Amino acid sequence: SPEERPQFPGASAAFAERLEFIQPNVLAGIPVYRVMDRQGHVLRPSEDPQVRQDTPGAHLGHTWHRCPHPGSPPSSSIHVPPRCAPGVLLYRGYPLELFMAQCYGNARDPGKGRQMPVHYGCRERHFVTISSPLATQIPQGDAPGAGSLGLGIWAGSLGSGIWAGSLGLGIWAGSPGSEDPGIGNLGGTPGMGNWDNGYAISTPTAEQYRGDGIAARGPGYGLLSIRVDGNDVFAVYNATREARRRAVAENQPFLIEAMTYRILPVSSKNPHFPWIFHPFFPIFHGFPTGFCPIGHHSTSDDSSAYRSVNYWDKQDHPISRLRHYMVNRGWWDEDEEKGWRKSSRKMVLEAFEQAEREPKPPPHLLFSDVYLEMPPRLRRQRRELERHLETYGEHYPLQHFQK
Amino acid sequence: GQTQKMNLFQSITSALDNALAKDPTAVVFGEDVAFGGVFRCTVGLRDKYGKDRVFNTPLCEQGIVGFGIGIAVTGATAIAEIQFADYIFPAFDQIVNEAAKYRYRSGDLFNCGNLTIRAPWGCVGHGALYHSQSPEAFFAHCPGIKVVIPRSPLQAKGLLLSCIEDKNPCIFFEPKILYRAAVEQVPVEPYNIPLSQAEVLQTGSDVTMVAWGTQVHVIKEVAAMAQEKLGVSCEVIDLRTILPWDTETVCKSVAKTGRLLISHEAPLTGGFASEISSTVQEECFLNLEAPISRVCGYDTPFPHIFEPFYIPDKWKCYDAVRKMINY
Repeated sequence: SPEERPQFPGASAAFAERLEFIQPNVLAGIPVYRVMDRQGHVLRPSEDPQVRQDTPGAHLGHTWHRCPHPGSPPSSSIHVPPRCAPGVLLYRGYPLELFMAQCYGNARDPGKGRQMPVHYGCRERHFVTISSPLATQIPQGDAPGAGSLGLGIWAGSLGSGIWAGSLGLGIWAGSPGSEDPGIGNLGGTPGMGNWDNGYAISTPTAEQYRGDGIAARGPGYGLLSIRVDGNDVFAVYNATREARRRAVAENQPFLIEAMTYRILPVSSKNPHFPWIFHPFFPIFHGFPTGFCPIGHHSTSDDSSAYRSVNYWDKQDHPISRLRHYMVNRGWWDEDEEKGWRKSSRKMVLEAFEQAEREPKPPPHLLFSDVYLEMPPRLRRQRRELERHLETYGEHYPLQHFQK
Repeated sequence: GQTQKMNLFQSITSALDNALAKDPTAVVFGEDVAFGGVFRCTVGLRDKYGKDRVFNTPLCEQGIVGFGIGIAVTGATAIAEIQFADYIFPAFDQIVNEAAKYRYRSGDLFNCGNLTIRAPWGCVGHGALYHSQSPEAFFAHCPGIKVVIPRSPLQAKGLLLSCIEDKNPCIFFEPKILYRAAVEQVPVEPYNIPLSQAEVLQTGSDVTMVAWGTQVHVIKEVAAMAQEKLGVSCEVIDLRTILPWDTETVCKSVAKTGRLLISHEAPLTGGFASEISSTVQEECFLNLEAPISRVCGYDTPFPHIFEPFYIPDKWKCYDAVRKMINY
């Protein structure tokens, strides 16, 4: 008889007549794609993206606030970023002054002082304003039809780049809905980058799920997937470039899991500090957390309670690796390092001070943008505040705010 | 019994310690609770009770609550932590459609009364949209759960222990701004403060003021200002349990004073003050000397840099008292 096949809707497989369970970690862990070793030597010449020295920033959009960034998507694509991953914005030329303005919530902040520090956004640069909740960007980045607009919604960035388990799949069968709603099913061409730094604040991935990381979930969703060394600029760049090219050409989504570690090179004593604003290598660090020791999740976190950073800082820092590469090619040396360290520190401190001095936006901006039009009840509340301040204004920090 | 100086997070730890000691089925879980928690509420518990009883969960609120419901249904005591009340919403369906309805929908064949959910709550000076919210009003609209908010370490321990022991699913919101700031002498041994009982902190004759959590301290100060500047005597009430709330204590007070001010950080429209106001005007209509006043957050998301202007501070509350007296 002609070969019988299962007739179940959505199933395209054949029958099996032997009872056998599928091993979850079939590949003994999906391998990590890398281009350089830890000393910055390219291992296979065919993988060298051959970035030219004279194209600063053109190809490499890495940041190490908390995690590396893929070689940045072109400015024409919309980036839906997670918290703590503003590298793409920096790469697209967002000025230092405006980063600082948002952190200080001063009158220059295009976000109008609404959000906590590091919640940047920029319409001109197609960088959707960051919000604090995690993984909410996943279904949002799935927007359908973007491909046909010639835009490509890149990086429905797996929102919680810094939290490996934040896709919410965890040890439960279901997800919180953040990843499930048909990633890639809606016809869009999202590229998704997940920066797996091994921890959700203090919780290591081993305590979050049993599967082989994020990349292993891709095939379950029907996604072309890859795991890359997130501390290797070129590996991430290559993977991102290729994924984007194919996502647009083949109209299908891609998943990139970039392995890394949470590093926060904010201390001026940290040798990586000067790299923060080199034009060739845009990096951002967490301004509002100030010059605190390396790697805490936030100002209220003391990560020494649960992990050791020293290995990572000394052995496998993404910036060090790239520096080795550049030094090996004679594009960088100790003198340039010293000079850049000095000038970048000056730039950052000046921007800090300037932002601190700027007044805050006028208080009436508290009330706008709730809706496009302001409802009568809210207008009334705004008037109430105005009148209240006429009488009690001395008790409020009005001197710091614009009128 | 013996007392110890404790701040709010320490009083929470003490309550959890008591619960884990007394109840061998009790487990404490949530994001980052193992190392002590982002607000230090669970420090030392894992060392003392083991990793099978104090453990981390993945970052998944829906999962945390769902898992807690599952534990509670089997009869064990589940004490779940949601890292910030602002992030409780992915668990909303589990709370509202599952936890709250478990007993009712099964004709009391099943229940998850052993579930308690704790979450840091309220403004903190710089929390902005997603680290400042007071979402009690969303849950007040849901029969089947209890919602409790303490104002101090002493209150927190007694109320939390009552929530844990209560045979209904409870949500316990902890004012994060008070975690370190509020310090009191708190008994080391367990004790209970009853749920659904408001507390009259100070008696008065002219105006009743009702609040919960951090805002209780604001209205206490306003009561002193009103006395000093206006010669007005205020009765200050801490509601403590939002659901089911103590209508009797509040109505009895307003029947006496004739004036009511309710204050909360959460936005005005649909905030819990609406429910209180509506009930009081039903019960005390003829006693009222002035319209009931609500001093609340504005109808906007919680702003960052504008926080000083957004919150229902003592000047706004004082001004409302003044207007009510002069009505």
